Amino acid sequence: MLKVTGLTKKFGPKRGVIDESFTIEEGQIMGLIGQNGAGKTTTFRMILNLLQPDHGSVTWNGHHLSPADYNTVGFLPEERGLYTRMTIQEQVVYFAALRGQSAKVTKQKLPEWMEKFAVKGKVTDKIKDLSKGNQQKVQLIATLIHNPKLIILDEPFSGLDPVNAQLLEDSILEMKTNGASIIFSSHDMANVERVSDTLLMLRNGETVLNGTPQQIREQFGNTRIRLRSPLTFEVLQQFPGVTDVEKRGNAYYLTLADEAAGVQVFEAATAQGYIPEFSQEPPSLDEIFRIEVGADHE
Amino acid sequence: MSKFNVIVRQVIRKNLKSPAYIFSLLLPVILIAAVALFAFINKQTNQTPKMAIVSDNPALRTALVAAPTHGDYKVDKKIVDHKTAEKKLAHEKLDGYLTVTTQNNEFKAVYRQRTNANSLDTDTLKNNFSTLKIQQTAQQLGLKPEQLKQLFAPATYQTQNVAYRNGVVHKQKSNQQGANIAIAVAVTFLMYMFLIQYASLIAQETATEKGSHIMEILVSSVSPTTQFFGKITGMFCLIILQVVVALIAAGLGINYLHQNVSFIKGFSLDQIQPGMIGLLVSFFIVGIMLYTVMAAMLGALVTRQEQVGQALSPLTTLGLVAYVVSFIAMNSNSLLIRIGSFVPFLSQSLMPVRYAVGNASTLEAWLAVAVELATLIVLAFIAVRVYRNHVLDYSHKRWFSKKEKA
Repeated sequence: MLKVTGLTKKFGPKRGVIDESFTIEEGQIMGLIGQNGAGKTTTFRMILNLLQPDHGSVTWNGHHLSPADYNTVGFLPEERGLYTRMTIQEQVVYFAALRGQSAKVTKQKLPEWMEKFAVKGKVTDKIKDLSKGNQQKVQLIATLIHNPKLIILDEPFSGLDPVNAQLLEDSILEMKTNGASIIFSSHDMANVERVSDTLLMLRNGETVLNGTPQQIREQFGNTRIRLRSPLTFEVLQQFPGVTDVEKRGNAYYLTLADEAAGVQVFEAATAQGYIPEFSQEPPSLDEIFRIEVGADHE
Repeated sequence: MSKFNVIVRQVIRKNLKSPAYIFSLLLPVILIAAVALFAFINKQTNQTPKMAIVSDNPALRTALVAAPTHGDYKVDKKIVDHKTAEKKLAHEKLDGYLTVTTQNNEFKAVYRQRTNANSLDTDTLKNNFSTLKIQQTAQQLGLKPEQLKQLFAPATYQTQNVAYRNGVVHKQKSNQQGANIAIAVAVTFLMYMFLIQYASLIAQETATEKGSHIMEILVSSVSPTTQFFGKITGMFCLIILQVVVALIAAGLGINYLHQNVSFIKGFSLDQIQPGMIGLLVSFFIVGIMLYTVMAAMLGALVTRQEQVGQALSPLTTLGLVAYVVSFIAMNSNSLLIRIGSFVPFLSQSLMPVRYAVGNASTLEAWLAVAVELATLIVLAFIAVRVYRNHVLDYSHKRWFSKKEKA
């Protein structure tokens, strides 16, 4: 279990992390979201003991993370780095050896992982001859092949196409099933929502959201309606309690000031009987992200 | 396998796969092979000249033909007359022929050679001819063989070389000082090349790992201290390998070449003082390590790989200065050079030369090694601190002021 309590690190007036707390149990995934510079990488570095916090503490299974724990860590830094002149096998074997896994075991496991991530090429291919996407996959393999129990992934989905993103999602979920505590950052809310058990959003180092995706969405109330009905754009715009109307395709997307207004919208829309669509939900995480980021820009 | 060993092995393996390192490792072998090849080709193309001897004095001719040639020429004994000799010469069956006349007691020899012939070292032939002339003249004068021997017994002449080390006469064989200086100059040159090479090797590697953010993975796997000493130890092993290869190449090379190449003739391994080899090897290892550790530290300070050259230039300049000044040290023992030969970063180039020319005592030489070694140890601990604090620091300022306990 990873427990972060009151973590604070200041670099300057607007950088760093302020009073950050969260817990990741075994077999749990936490998504860390926030704009660039919000404090995600700083958080990861403090967890890894690469940076000393000004206040607060990080414990892994009840103790401070020390070099003795390094073998149980899998870390994918935001900026990818591989030795371009090495072959895939040399690279993965070296990184795994630094995590305490013998070359023999790594060599045995590697073909399976290459298949899992659909890496194009042979284990004897040089890193520099691989496409960027394949290099990224090799980096992910190097991060995960030693079966770590604490996995920290900084923007693991960036640069992956949807097919490869799905492969990564599957692997992350597999590691979760194996009992790993996983923390990852992402800009893609869809990934975060699909994979995360909990999520935490940082804005200028401050925690603005913390909880399960469902809890967080519900904090914002069922203030979004998707509607297909005889009601026209003008009518919807004039509706009391509706703050915004947008037409996308043949459906209207309504933003409500209060979720109670949904009842009147439903009644008006169904006044003449059947309608194909009425759906009232909390805002999507993507939207919440924009709302929270927007709050900073005001 | 411990992580320390993983890093050491990685450094060694990576470099053994790099063509640049292999080339530098084999450089002494290549140099010696080149000289050996040159000597071999020279020997092959320059064959022993073949000649004929014709004379109006058959007894003299027979004696001359029978005289020892020391491998300098071969005589075709069948050719006895001028006409045949000329014909064979024209058909390139001979390189030349000697015509000896003894009319009126005047001994005269003319060697006629083709311009494109194998050249003749005339010393032996001239000697033989002179000896025969003397013998014949002595016979005519009625001198006894003992008298002849007495007449030609040479006066003795001898040269003695002495060198003073530590204030007392230091016994050395005739070529010893020359050999010492030659080897000191050669080693100083190799050392300069290698210290620049190793310094840039490790600085590049550190800066590349930092610049490409591989460092973040490394320091989250292994403590920076283990990593730093692992790298330095790996480099140390490579240096040792380099020394061993150079020593073997030099040993085999000198043993083989001193029989075949004129300028190494009379230069053999036992002319080099054993103390000199130990000193050179010590300076070689400690000197290069000192530069390597310094370079690793500088490599950790830069943010991008492109800045390495700039960060290293003061260090490489220092190495160059030490190397250049070592030439001055060969002929000068000024105070500045005496002091310089004890200063770390300079001593590895200056002291071996001073020691070789006899300007420094054994004690002084080893003292300089000790000073450099002590500096190396202190520097290593400073360097590991700097390395630890800066490998993840991508800011462009505060190079030395940042005190972050990582």
